[in-house]
Amino acid sequence: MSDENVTAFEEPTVEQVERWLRKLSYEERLTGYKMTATAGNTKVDMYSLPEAVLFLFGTRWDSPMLQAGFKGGINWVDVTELVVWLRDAVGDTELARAVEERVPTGESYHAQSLVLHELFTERVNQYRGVREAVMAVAQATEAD
Amino acid sequence: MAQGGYVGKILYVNLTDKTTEEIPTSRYGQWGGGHGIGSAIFFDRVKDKTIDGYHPDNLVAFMSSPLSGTLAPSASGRTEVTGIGIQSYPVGWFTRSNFGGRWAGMVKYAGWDGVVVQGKSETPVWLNIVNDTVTIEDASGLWGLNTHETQEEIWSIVTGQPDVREWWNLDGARDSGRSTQKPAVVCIGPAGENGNRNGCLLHDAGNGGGQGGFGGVLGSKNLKAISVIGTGSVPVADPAALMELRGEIMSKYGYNVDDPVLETPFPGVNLYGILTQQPGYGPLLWAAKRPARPQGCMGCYRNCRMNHETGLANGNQCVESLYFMAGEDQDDVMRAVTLLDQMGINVYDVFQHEYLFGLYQQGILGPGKQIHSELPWDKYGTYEFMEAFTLAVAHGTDIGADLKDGMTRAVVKWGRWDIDTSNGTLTRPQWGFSEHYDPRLEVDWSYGSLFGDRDINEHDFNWHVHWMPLVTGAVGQDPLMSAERMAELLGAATGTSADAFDYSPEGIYSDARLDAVTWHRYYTRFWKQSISFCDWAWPNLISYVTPDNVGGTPTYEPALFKAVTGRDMTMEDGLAIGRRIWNLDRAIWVLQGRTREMEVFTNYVYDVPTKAPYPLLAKEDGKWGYGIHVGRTLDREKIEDMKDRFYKLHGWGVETGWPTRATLESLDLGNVAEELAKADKLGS
Repeated sequence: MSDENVTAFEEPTVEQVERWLRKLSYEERLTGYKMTATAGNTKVDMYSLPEAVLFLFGTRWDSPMLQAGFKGGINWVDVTELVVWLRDAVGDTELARAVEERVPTGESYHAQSLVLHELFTERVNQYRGVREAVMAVAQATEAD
Repeated sequence: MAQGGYVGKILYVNLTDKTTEEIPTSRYGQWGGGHGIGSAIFFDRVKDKTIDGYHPDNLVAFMSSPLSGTLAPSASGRTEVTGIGIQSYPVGWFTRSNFGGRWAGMVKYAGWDGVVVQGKSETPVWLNIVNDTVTIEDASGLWGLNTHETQEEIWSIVTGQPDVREWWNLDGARDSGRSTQKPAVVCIGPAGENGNRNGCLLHDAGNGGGQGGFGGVLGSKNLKAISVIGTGSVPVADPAALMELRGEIMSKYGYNVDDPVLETPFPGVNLYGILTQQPGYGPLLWAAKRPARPQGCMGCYRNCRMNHETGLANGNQCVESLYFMAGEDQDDVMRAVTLLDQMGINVYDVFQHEYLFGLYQQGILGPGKQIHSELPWDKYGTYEFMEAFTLAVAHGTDIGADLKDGMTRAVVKWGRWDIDTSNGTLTRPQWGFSEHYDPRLEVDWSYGSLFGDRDINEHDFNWHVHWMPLVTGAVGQDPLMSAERMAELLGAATGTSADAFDYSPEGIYSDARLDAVTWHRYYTRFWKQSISFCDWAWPNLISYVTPDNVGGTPTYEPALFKAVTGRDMTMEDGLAIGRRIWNLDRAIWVLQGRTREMEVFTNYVYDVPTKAPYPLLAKEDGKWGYGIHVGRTLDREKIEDMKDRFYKLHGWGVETGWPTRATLESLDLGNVAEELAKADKLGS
């Protein structure tokens, strides 16, 4: 990603990260499709943002769709539904907006997934940073 | 008499009185082999076709083909299993299953073209076949072992040595032969012993015969395993021609590891292997991130599976790899699949555990809920959950007490079948089988399944009409050929027409489409299920590695058949036998209670539009293309009209779907017509 395309997400608070990572109800789930030669298009329900990340980017999650290391099927979500889900169910409106604005329409799903991967990488790294900071504070408090 | 691919006799075992009999293969040679012979023996020896699969009179045939055990490429290692199944719903239809590996070849090396079992033993037994010597052994020491333990124990018993890697004498006599081979064992696990409707057959590490519930059928017969070892050979009419054909096919269509014609644009993307067909591509859902080597069935040049250094999920391919895709650790994913194999469970019945998790999320299933279960649903997505779930299904504990009867019957029992198959939460389009390819779109698959007995699981057109445009489109490539060219090639290879491959909203109901569906039913019944050409290699309708894209069908199947048997057989001759087998099976289903009214899909197929993009060959506004086809459903009235035409095309009564006397007699099935007449079930 070139510098001018970098999305500058505002730093989330601890409370926001905890809320966005929460388990969702059945009604709030996101449905994707696993496209495999073994079973055609199979519905997959996701009940949290981490589940969606796992679904989209694989077990190692640091690899975009179809790159080496990803499971051999195509895991597909409707990008429009993903935007709505991120905004209304998960609550991360910044990520939702970035996906809506940056993911190209009319491109191959592979091209879309590369952008999705970049956006999620940046945002989830922020989540991790916040959580690690919280854990460091907690550990320091325990040590006291 | 052994000649031209056949070794001359079929072993019949009556488990009730512990007797055996030799059936001359020539008596059934007109059916080709495999499925055809299995259906014909069933028809002759099971007098009451209305019995269910658990009845002792149910007859299960394990059949090879004339090509089994030879070097016919991708046509040597598969075993066809037939009998009354216990999986389909609402009726356990006469059905088929099939597994790869080396059993089919080994049974011929032992001097048998197949093994047929009927009756029920009072105590657990296993069959021990060493060349001509057949013994029915006590299996009390094997009962309760998993499928891998069972095979290892039998290897030691038969060879008389704990480490089966040395030369050994088959029966101690000087001239009976020596071998370094392990016996080929097909067996059942705890699920089969418990009579599970999702109990499967398992051979070697991961060759499963899942559909039909034959594991549970064998369990009901108290038959734990069939072990075969032989030192004979298969007579080949023209060995030089066979070798020449094998070399030609490998050279033209095989994957050249040194200089591949077609390569994935993204190394490590197994999915693309559907197009390149590189060795080891079969377990499509996991990239080889562990040390592994390709592995294949007897005589295969493609070797689509993998064996892993970890020893986990060896030989698994295809749908097994779907069982635990939520796992974060690949070893855990493969461990879950291995456990499933060891328990002897048909993954295609239980991989929709996500549906169950949805019930848990809705508060319908769980501790103290309407569907009580104390499994760790709060740990869904972990290996801990998968292990508990798998063991519960195998042993019939917790929610497994219902699921051992198959997911469909469990959902019916819970009162959710109509609701969840209407709103599409549970996608089981016909006969209680899980959806495979979308029944609203790939109608050769769904029509074939609906007019048959199970999910057909035949990828013949599917690789091309759906997978090629999907895979190339997903990675941003142009299709490997134009849609127009594909339609032309498919029409030519099948002797139908380009329009027979029009999957547009109108095309799926057309007479031309029904021609393709018909070709498919006849081709698979004979060339694949009776002559054992493997689904992952044949038919070879289109090639992505030859300049003209022309595939090996219909040239090579008859040529290989002739090289092995010495008999001239055109593609059309084979299709004619396929039609005969298809009608014999149809007659059995009719005797079991099949009616026209039963041949309908569940409601979601008609009422819930497709949502995910589904690239598919179609002609719209006069132009061929690969559209994305969202929002598709089937239309009830058009399906009923299609049924009228399909029944007429096949010579069945339009009102009933039953074969007419004229049709059966024209196929030299007058005896079948008589049996239908006695049951007052002849079509008119």
